[in-house]
Amino acid sequence: MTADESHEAWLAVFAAVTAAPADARRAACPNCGHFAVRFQYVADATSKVGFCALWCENCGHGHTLARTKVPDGIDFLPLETSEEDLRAAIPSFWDATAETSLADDLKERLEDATARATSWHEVYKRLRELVPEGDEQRHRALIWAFAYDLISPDETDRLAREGSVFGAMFEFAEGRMPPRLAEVPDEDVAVWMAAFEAVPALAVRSRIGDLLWSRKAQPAAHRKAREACEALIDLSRLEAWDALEQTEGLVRALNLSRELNDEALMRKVAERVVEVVEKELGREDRPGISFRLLRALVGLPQTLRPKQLMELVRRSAATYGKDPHHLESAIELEAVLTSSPDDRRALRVRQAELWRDKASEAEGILRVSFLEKALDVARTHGLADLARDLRVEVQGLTEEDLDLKTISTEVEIDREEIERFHAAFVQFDSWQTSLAAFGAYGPPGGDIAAIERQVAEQMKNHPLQYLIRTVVIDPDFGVPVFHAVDDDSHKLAAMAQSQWMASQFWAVSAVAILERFVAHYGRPSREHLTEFFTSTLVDTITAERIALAFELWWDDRSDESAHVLVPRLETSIRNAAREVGLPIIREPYGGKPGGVRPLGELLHQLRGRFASPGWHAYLLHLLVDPLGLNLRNVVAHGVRARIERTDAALLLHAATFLRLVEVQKTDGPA
Amino acid sequence: MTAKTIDDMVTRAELSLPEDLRIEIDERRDLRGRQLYGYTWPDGLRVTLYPDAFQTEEELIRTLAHELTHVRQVRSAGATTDSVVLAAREREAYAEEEHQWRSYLERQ
Repeated sequence: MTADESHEAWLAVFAAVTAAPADARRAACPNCGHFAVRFQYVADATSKVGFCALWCENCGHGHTLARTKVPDGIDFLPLETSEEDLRAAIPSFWDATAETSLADDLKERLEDATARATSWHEVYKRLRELVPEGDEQRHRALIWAFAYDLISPDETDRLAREGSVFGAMFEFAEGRMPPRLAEVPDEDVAVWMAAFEAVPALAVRSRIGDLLWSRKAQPAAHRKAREACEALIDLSRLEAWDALEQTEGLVRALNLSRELNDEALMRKVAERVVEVVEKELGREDRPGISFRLLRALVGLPQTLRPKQLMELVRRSAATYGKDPHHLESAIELEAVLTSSPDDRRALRVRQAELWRDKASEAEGILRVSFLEKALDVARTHGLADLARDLRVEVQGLTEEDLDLKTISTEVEIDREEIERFHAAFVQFDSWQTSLAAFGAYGPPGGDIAAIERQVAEQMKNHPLQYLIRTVVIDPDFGVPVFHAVDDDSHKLAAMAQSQWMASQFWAVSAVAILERFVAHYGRPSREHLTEFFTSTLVDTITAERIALAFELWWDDRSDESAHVLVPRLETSIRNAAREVGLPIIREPYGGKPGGVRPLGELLHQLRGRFASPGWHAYLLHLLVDPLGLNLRNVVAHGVRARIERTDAALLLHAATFLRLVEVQKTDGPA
Repeated sequence: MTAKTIDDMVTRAELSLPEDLRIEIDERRDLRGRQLYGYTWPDGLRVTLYPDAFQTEEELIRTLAHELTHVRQVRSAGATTDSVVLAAREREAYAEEEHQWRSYLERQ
């Protein structure tokens, strides 16, 4: 900080360096004391009247003087010099005398807020209390500075979203506080700049120095990063400072020194981190602190890692190893540090066995979760034998083992309305029109874009439920088939659930409509039904089987109905693919025989070819999506003892829809 | 180099001074002959004149006109250290001193 960075002090520098013969080395910077002062005149080309800028190349402080005249023998830039050349000749500098200095009342409040504060958050709270009513706008830069949440290096999504290590304290539908670092107006950055120079408190230098560095605010952003780094080390020594912020601060200091590519600083921070970990290992109650710091050290380039790091990691396993999660953390770190592939493999086996043991002690879904964790470790690290054994263990679990609870909810629907809806399908003069109306209804769940919007809205309005890992269990096998862990996977699971509910709801009506159909029109003969179903995509032989499926369903033989129908649905969809010019067979390749392409592949290829994307999504859901009803695979793989009446009704509905599909050739692809 | 000299010159050159502006004189010897004439403080409330501003009548009128332009600039848009803005402000201040000096000569 400045000893005497006044206008007078800079005048003395001006007098010294411009005295003939001019020599910039003749005076030290009044701020940092380094002999790194430079000066540049910018003046009218004829009269040589203009200004003289003086600045220090070491600390980035400076001052300007005008009106001056350029002394003889000194080079100057004309006033008309281009912006680019002016900026190249005179770097941005900090002028302590300029109006951008921190206003006295702001300085006083910042000093009050930081005095004896125990965390950045406390500085934020105190500042808010100290700001006089109506004067919030002038103080907002300072309040923002301490409101930011320092994002951990593990939170990669958030880091990417924020574009810096500083995250919002609050995010609302309408906005956030504070703004993204890149969106903070320059005038507020100028206040930070002034605050950094005016208030030497560690809380200010660590936080605002880092903000200025992360924002790449000139001048001397590097110097501020270094000072922030040193301040973070000093904060870690302050007994009163919040332990969690000390830890986050040290992790940040290590990253700051890496961003600066300053090895000496990296070693200095690493030394302090080791000291803190050593101290923490003496107590068992705060494993989070040790592991965060150890993780940061392990992340250093190998040559800069402290020598005792492996020993510290092993001690952490001994200190906190009673908890499997902590033991796993220690194993993870040791696996990174060890150079022997055999040792690494042995560590991974130990890690997988750790969860397997834990599973044997647990019950219900927790047991599955631990076994899956073990399987995940084995699979990720190429432990094939162990993975196979674990897979068998997971498959051996029954639905009863999961000990799941049913959550139900009731929605009241007006009986008359339902009645009107069902009656509408049998209001026609002919059974053919009635069945065609049945096939034309849908897609159940509606337009896929609407489902997507509805799910997005739901995720926005109820974000908490989408933060928790969700496991989708296969209803037939009782094993997990999907893990929703992030926004995308949660969205996928939520959409599948929404489609599932819509199709279940429709299935009840489909059953009622098909029953009402027979009651109203009587059963059409096989011959008539065959004739009805024969269409562009459905040949007569297939149509006859579909007719049989209807008869079986009406005979209350829904399982047989589904088994007859599913291959015929596949035939119809394959016909559609062929009609639009998609390959439906696979040629033999090398030693591998050819054959028909599976239904899932065909349906995915048909994306965008259906007039209604909703129907395409529904058919995927109904027939081949593992998160959906997946009835084609359920039937073909024999995984369900009996296909229920409702599911079979949905298949009949799909067959009736496919009968209505016509292929239209266009100029482009069909 | 007195306040009276300044008052006389302001009157003769018909310069308009804001009421709340304070003009100070810095007489330090080490700045004599260093071709530093004036300085407008970042608050826009003070102007300091240095010894070389009093060398001639022309230099004093020009310096006063020049610094008064800076006072106006600082009061309307704040102080700056941006070299591009400084150059633009300097062009305006130099044009103003030229204008005031020529007007003064015409009136004589």
